[in-house]
Amino acid sequence: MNGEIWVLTENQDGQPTRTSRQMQSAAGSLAAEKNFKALAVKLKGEPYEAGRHLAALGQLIESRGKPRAILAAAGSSGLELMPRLAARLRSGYLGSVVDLRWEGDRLAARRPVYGGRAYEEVACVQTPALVTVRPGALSVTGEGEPLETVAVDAPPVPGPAVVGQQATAATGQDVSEAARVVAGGRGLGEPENFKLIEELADALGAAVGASRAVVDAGWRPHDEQVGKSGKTVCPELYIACGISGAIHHVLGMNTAKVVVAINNDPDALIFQNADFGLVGDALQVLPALTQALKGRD
Amino acid sequence: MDFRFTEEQEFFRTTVRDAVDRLIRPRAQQIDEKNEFPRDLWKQFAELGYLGLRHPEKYGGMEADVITAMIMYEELARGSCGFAMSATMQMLMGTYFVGRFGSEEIKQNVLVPAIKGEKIGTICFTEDQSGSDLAGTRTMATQKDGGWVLNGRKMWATNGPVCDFATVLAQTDPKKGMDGLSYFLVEKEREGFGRGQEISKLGSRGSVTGELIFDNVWLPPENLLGDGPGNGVRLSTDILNEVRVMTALNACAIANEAMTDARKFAQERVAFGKPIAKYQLIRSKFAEHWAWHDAARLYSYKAAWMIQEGMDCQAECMLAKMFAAEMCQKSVDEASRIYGGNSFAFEYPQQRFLRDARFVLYGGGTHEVLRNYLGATYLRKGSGI
Amino acid sequence: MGIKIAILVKQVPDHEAIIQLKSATELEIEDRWVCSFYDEIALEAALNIKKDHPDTELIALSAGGRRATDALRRAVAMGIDRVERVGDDLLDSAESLQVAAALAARLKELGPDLVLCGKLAGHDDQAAVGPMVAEFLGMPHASAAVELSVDPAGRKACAGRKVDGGVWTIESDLPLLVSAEKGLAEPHIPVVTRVMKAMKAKIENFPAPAGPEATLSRIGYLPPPSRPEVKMMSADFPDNVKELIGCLQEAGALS
Repeated sequence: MNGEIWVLTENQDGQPTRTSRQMQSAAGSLAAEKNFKALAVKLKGEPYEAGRHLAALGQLIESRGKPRAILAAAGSSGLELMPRLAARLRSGYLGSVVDLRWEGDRLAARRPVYGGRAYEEVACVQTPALVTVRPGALSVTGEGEPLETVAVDAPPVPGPAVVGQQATAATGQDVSEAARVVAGGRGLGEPENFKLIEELADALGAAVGASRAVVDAGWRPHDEQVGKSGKTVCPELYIACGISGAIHHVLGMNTAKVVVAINNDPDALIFQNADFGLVGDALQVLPALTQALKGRD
Repeated sequence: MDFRFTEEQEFFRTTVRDAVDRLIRPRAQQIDEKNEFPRDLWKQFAELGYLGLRHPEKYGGMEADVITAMIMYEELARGSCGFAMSATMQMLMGTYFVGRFGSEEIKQNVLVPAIKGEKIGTICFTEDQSGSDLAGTRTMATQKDGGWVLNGRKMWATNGPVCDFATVLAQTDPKKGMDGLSYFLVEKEREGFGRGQEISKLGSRGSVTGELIFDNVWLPPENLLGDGPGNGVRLSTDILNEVRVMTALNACAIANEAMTDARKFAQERVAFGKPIAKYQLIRSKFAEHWAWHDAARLYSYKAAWMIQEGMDCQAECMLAKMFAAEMCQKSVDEASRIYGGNSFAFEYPQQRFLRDARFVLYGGGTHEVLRNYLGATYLRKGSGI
Repeated sequence: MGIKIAILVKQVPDHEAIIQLKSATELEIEDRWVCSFYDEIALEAALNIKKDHPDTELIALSAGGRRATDALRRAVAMGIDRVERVGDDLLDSAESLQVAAALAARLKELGPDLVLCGKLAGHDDQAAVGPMVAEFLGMPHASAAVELSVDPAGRKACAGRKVDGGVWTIESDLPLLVSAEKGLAEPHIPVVTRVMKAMKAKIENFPAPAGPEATLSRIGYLPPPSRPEVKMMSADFPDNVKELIGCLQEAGALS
């Protein structure tokens, strides 16, 4: 076993994703504590396919030895690769973690269970610790130097083939990767009013999110759904408009750093899960907020 | 003594609860507001096959035992009283006599489609001048042309306005009083069958209830259900026992729903800086409800068990229904007080629980009549403990 | 020649069950258990395949004790005739790797062409058993499927995987493991004849062989994060908007 911590790094538009940067920063800190080395690993070969990328990772382990830990984003590829590799190596898999630390010599994680109704702290007792990290959950601590990057070829292997790729996200950013999210709910009244959400999101460089109610009602695509059976998000800023704050939505966003709630109903539950609250008509407040934010630049 | 439900019964309950939560509960408020028989929901529910709960498999039924049936009745009432009232009429009272005493032809023509939900049934006891007092029945059945002629008006027939057939309690011999009563099957196609006024009810709205009119309705002899005329009351003991325990569990279900809803409210509603759930007087209401509701529920299932074991339990069934119904009034009252002023708004479900709760005071016998009977029985026989 | 589909199911706390900390190392879970939402979708997807290909054989498996029995009863109620319980109570609290190993041992004996499961259960939410079982069985897997079609004669399957921002179509030979995402199928409400059958079902138990050692050790539990009391904007519109921007700036959320 080598003294390395690997971070499977993903790029978007030529840059490491927010989650990749967070994982690299965390890996750097964790490695420093134990005199290990943190390494960024870029698995090449588009599109992602479990067989070839698992083989590629296997090759890297063969050539460099087993690392102490491998971190990957808990996205559609990480969630396939890491558990499978854990079964292969009979080592510990820690899924969708929101925090990482050392517990003695063992890597320990905090992760949600039962849909986020509780959190468990669990340590890995069989290395390498294979970890998927909830997008956005870790903080970027300080400006560490970028990690050494190892690019690994992933030649195709016999097995399933990706024969089609269809984009379904409405526009703009993936809500689980975005640093800022503006989300709307039934309180907006009509599907057309989501335009105000989109405009505010645009002014903030944010992704658009949606409550389950409006996704079920067909106003917005499932990709935007925040909460149970949708996505769990950890943005720096989460603005909830016209969302009542039922527990299933809350569990999907309550790890956001700063939460703002805008709702007509002063007794809405969402206010109990927000840092800042504004009671008002979203149709009035949203355009005013967008205008004011644009005016600042 | 094992007070647990069996694994199978727990599984049944979980499965039924899931079906009620998915199919019926989301429509509960709408059913109450529209106050129309929900035909589409009836059809979907019938397709699940639950209507034949207590009937033999050869007619499409489930042959479920008494306790399993009671679990069904309780879970249905938790979803919507308006729907539950119609469904339980179909499952129990409305098809009981047809199922037990109907000829094979009658079972094929009436019971089989009823179990499929294609023909809707009802039972008619109550009249303008008589409710608990069965001997006061004025609907007459007189022998004629080898059969019977029925004359009279029945009120408060659940499903009456939409029914395809009715089981009617009629007097065959006024001189015999209670011993002259008998049950007759009346299909809507019979000449002289008519529907009177629909009753606009305070609660269980959506379950349509109304008057049925029998104007010289001639019935063939096989439409007299059960052996020979005059057996009506004797044959009623079993069904009345079941109806009373069912009503008791309806009461438990309503109380439970009202308090579960109030519980959520109490945890969220803030007054003077903290959720009202932190205040003693509010907490006291939940503690009282918990004790009385669970006691009523235990009593009800014990009575159900006694029916299932074939034990003599007329008193226990009446006692369970009385206890549960009174408990229910208290619980819905307290639940609405927890809501405070909001319970006064139609927007919230508390008003529906308050209204639905009133019926259990009358269904299965008014408490004034029951108390008189039970008190006399107690004085005569003691309680058996 | 029909294919054999194995569906993996698990009983989990109802999504509305109240879960609280009893102590730093123990949770108190309200006694409301249901078959996992995603597993039910997998069951329905299997039934849909059988509708299209009537000679398909369906078997549902669950690992554990009493809870596994409940999950399997639900599978029967949904329409699966053959159900098997693997292992015993110890598996109820075992980690994903051990559960996957136990299931895989039985699945090796069954030799399914397709294994279906939910993408996660709603228990420890590791979403790991599916891919781990695939690894133990040496078969490929496609996770988070929202579309699935099978060609039994050609022994192929085609799955639409939900990825970030899209749906990718994967073609694969059988055998294959597919985990179900919301949208793959719409679970129906069981009809009463199946419910009665489920109530009376006698479920065969297959002991699990000794499995891999534990790879994880739980340290304890924490409640979900809570926030300090909300700061409500006190000004009237439109001044409250300015107030809000001020608060956000102070909190560093707008830099």
